[in-house]
Amino acid sequence: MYKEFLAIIFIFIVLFFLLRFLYAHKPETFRIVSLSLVGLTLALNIFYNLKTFFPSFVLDNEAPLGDSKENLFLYKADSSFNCEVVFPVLDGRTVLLDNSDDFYELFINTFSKEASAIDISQTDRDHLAFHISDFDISAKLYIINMMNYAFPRHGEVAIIPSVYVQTQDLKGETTLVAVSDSDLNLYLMSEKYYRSICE
Amino acid sequence: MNFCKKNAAYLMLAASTCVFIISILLNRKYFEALSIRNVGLYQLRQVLSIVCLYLVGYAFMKLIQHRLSNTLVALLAFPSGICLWCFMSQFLLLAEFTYRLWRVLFLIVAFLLLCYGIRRIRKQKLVKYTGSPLKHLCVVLSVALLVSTGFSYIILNYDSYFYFADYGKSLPLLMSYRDIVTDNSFVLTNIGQFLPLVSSYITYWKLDTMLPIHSFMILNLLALYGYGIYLYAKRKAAPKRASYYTALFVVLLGSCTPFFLFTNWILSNSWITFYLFFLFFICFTNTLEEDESTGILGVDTALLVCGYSLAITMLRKDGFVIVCFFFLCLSIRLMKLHSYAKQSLIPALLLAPSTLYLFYYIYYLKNVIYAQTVLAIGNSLINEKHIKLLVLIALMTYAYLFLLRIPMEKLCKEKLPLILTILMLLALGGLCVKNRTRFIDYSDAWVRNLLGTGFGYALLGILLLVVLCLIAKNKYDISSFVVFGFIILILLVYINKDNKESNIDNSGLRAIYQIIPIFYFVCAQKLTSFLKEK
Repeated sequence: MYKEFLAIIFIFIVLFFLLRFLYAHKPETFRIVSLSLVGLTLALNIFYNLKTFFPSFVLDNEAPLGDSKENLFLYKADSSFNCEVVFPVLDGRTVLLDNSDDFYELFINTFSKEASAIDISQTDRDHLAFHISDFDISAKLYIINMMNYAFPRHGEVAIIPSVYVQTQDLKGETTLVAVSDSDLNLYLMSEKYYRSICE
Repeated sequence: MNFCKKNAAYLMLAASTCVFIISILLNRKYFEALSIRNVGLYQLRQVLSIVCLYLVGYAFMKLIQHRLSNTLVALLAFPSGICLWCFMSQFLLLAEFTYRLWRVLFLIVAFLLLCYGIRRIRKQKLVKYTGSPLKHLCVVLSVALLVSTGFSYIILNYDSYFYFADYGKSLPLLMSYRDIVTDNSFVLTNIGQFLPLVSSYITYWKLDTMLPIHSFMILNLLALYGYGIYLYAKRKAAPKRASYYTALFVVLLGSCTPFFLFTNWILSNSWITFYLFFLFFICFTNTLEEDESTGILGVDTALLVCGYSLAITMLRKDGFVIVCFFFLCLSIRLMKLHSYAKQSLIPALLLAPSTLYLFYYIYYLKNVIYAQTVLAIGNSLINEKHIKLLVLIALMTYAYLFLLRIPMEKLCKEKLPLILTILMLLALGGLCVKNRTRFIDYSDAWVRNLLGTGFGYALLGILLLVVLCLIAKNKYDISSFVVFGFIILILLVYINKDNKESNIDNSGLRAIYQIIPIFYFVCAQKLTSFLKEK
């Protein structure tokens, strides 16, 4: 690394004297050489950018999202923070929240259009557990731990729960059902899907 | 050809509308799989959120316009609109009024009426609009449509998600800082409030991401940068040659890897980059279009300096340090143009809002809502050591402006930028000698970072520009001092923070990158001497 760094510095010192000489004695050649060098660095930069940033870019030791499409939401399937999916899913929808679940009550009330309680029996929960493979989005729900300013109780969670979303029947559905299990994992699905499984 | 030139704005709008409609069709499947909302209306709301900010900013700029040209008023409208939103929101939150949309709007309207009233009292007519307002609106609308397609490139990390987007989203729902404060109020004590407030703005529009606003700001910066270079180049060369020169430098900046990376990354650093460039532009180049003897600071410029420096202070914990450095540069710039009394008083007055805001905010956290944090205590705004350091920096800046500056200027005259650079280098050298091990680790991290991922071949381009500037034999003037002094300042700040990470997320590295647009602009300005005369 140091060799490269010193070599670059050395090359530019040589370049400085060379260009200064050309500028003083052959201004036209100086113009051509300097413009070519600028063009070369420009081409190198563009080449590097295309190679590094497109179609997507992941930093050294982090896992952010770099993308040139589908960024109307913060949610992105291949992001480390794909739990952001809960926002577009809850936004503008009415949520029927499992009566026994008071942990997510404030969170869902805050980010959904409206929340009301629904009785969900243990049999229904078992049914849902059986159909877990239908939930095509699963993500660690980092949000609740991070937003401890908004939900202080959530900030105390030692193990980050997961969120599971059933998206196949979500399109056009205005009502969702939210169920959580004993490990505080949250399951979000359309009411239509819930009824089809549990009734 | 003539038809295209004449109707460029309308053609641009037509093309942008086509791209926008195609984007709606393409986004539909992805969008509607998750959201109940209509994708077309969602994207239209994105456009409207941008246009509204622009119009508010434009109204403000027109009301304060004094010496700024109509083009500059148009180019600075959007960042000013964002500032108005954030300042009014922060005022409500700090004054402990419930944070509601109508209250922010009321404050903005009241402020605009106040500006209008002052203008009426001073019997100043509004500066006449030149050009076609319809064409102007078409251009703004076209850019807003393009950035709202969802196709722009973004980079997000942990901070972008949780501290800016999610926290900002929660603010309009929680409506007061008092409801946020807990035993660990990290977002209040360690995060600048400006960017979360921008996020709050889009939450009121029922949108998920502030990305279109971010992309609009990038284009706004590039437009202002190009406009400034064109003005410089036009002084030396024919318009056609000046246009090529401008285009070359816009492409050079746009393709510079760290610039591309860090401006597309939603971080407070990228927003400091925007506002720092706007601040530099209005302070150091606004007289390009007029006679320098009229003086540099019109009412409009003074208000913008106040506003943008306040924005930088609100953006990051170290924002105030950057602002103080900038006022030091501004005072040198003012040296030639005003009387001695004005030279001291004007920068001191303009720095006052940032200073008052910072110390009131710290007082508010410590003594009004009793905020505490368990994370990164050493760096938090409520840390005693940190507060003492900020007080010291503020005192030193005011002491320089009122006491030291006049003798320094008399003594050093034109050499002042060079002497200040040497003093800063000596301070850096002193710190390095004091702790050699830290210096070696620190230098090692810098070399690795400059040649590592994220920098690409940008170093070659930057060094080439430096070489060309040296050949052009320009004086080491105040513009050069802004760039070089800023780099030394960041090195000074971060050597104390023990910043040794060797990766792209290194905060010292991100802070240095904030100067890149100014560096390219200064180079473009200096290299105009190579342009063939008209």
